[in-house]
Amino acid sequence: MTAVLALSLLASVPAADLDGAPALAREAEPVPAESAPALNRFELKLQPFLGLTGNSWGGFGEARFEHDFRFPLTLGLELAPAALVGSADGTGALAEARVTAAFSTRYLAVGLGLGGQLQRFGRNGLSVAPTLRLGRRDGLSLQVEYAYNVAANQYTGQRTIGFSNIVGTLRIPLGDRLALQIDGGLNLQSWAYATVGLRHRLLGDGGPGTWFVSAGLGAAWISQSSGCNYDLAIPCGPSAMSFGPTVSFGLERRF
Amino acid sequence: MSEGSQLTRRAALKLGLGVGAMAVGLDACGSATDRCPAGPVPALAAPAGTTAAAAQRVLAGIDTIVVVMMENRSFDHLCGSLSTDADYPAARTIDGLTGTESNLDASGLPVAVNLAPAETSHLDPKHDWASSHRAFNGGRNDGFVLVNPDPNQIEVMSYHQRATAPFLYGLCDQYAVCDRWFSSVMGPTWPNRYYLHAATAAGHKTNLPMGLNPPPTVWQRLAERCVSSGYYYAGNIPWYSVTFPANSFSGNDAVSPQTVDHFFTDAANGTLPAFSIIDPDFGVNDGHPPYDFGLAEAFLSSIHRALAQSAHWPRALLVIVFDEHGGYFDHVPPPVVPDPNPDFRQIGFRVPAVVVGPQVRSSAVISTPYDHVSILATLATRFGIASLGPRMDAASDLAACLDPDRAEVVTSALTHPPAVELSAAVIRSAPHRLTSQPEMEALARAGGVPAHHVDPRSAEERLRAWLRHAQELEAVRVLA
Repeated sequence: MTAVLALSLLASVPAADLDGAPALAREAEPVPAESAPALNRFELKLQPFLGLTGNSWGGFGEARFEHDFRFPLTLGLELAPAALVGSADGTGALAEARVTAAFSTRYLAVGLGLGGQLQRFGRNGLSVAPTLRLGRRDGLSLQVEYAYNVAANQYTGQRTIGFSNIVGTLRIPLGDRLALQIDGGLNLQSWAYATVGLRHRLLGDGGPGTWFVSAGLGAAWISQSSGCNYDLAIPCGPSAMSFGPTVSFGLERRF
Repeated sequence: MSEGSQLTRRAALKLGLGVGAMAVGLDACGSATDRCPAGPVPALAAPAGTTAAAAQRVLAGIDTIVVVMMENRSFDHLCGSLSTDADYPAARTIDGLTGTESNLDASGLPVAVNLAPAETSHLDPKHDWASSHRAFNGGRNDGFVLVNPDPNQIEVMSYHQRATAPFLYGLCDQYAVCDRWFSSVMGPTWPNRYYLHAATAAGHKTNLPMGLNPPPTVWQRLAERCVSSGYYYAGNIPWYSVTFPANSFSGNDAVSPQTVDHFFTDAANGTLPAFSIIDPDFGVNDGHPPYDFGLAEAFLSSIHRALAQSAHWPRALLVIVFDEHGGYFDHVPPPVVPDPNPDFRQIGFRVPAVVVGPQVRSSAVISTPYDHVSILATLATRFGIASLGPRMDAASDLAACLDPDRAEVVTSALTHPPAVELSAAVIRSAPHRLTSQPEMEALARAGGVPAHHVDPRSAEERLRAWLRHAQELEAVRVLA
């Protein structure tokens, strides 16, 4: 509670005052002026991998567009994640896409995403994803997105809410332009990944015209399998699973 | 065995970070399936004249199968004395104790089988993977005492008699005892229960939950064929929900755990599913030492009475089985079976198993080798569910326990074992603050179970509710 209160107070302090505060002055990332116009951000991340078993492969992709208003609101669109997997037994694909809205200040963001979940095998339906960011977006921060799906149970036909996935990013500033970035995601049934890498501010001061690039190493797993239908001659359909080391590449453009 | 307060819904919500709080059904619970308007998909007929065809014919008379899996007793420990029981009709055919069996202790002195002391004095003998394999000792079954030194060494060689298990012995008198039913894994509880649910433990040799991408389960196989199923739990949290988190959190599972109160209601209403598994309360009546075995008897009696007084009874099969030997001595070396994982080909020791129902062979001893996967094989024969792997393919079904000539038996002519008598003192001392599955409680506290699967009642409330059912069914009589 104390931490939340402190963050809320900090969020209400003008940037000029923050720049003068000794503790915060040590943070490496420059802070765009509070009076800066609204900001658009576009992020893209790709994470391919080759499987350790058989001739399998897979990959994750993530795309996000967000618009920060001058007041504490951010609206956006996200495709997070999209995944493809292939193996000798078949191929699978899944994606979650959402419209997002967040109460967003410099040190705290709380939001909600609403959209849909599509996959080649498994149930499709609505996707609901609360989000939370603690800390400055370009400084020390932790972002978590926790997604639920709302869809018909494939065995009973009843509509249910279930846990879909949790993804998170931890950023730890290492210098003026560099930060350690740890990403992880988990869907108990279909996929998981974890990467450790670096995020570098290539151009700009964090405001419009800024470019970030990131890269990381880690491991990833995707599994997709069809159900069985005993009315068919071959009741159980194809499936695809891959697990292996992965590299991730990310790009962020602000304008 | 550990001590600790029971988990409540409030605790789960507080500690579970809301993980499970949202994993709820939007519609009312129920087994109705919109995707199966035509009902179950019939099993394909086996070729005429084959053993499979004969088994299908016998099992065709069964529509309702109920499995109760209790905890931690070997066959010799609980049923071994049937071979010397003057009241047991099949004493001469059952492979029980002779009274001369012994194991050597660390100093080379023999520790003989001995009559169990007062039930509440039981300790919890070692029965983990390594200890069990040491007790097995390559088929000599002579290490039970060595892995359980003082004060357990006398205890592990103990056995019960009719006096301490009158209800179970009463069922044995009347129905089929399987004296070659082995635990599926020579190890602890969870791997054995995994084999009941999935015909594999996915390599688990300890009490750890299934991880990502769990193996398919019997619940999925039944649902795929539109065969109704139910999973009832008498404790505060369902074992299955904790151990298959990827399924239980998904909102897309093939089974929805329900408290055992629903079993009593479903039985009374004649709406039991075709297949169900009932877990006892791991904090009270699962039979795990050191719980008073009278509570386990009372639980079994309540389940039996509920089924026997239901409309399902003429075409019902009740299977009472224990998960593993619990560290207790058994004299029969278990065999090896086909398993994709070589470590799991050596199965575990014999456990008590009684098959009950109007169509079951009367006062019979069935020596067909069985293990927990045999229940799944029975479902394959009866309902045509798809295979869960080589273990299931190789397992024998329970058709041998049934008597084709009893298909038309008049069930009203069958008598029930007498009600279990429980003293008020035993009920008062029911170990509410213990659990035989501390790993379950720990995982639940860490948010590892959907909150709506947690029974919010206190242990005392659950105990009272169950006893109320049991007394209404005249399955239990509480003595002052």
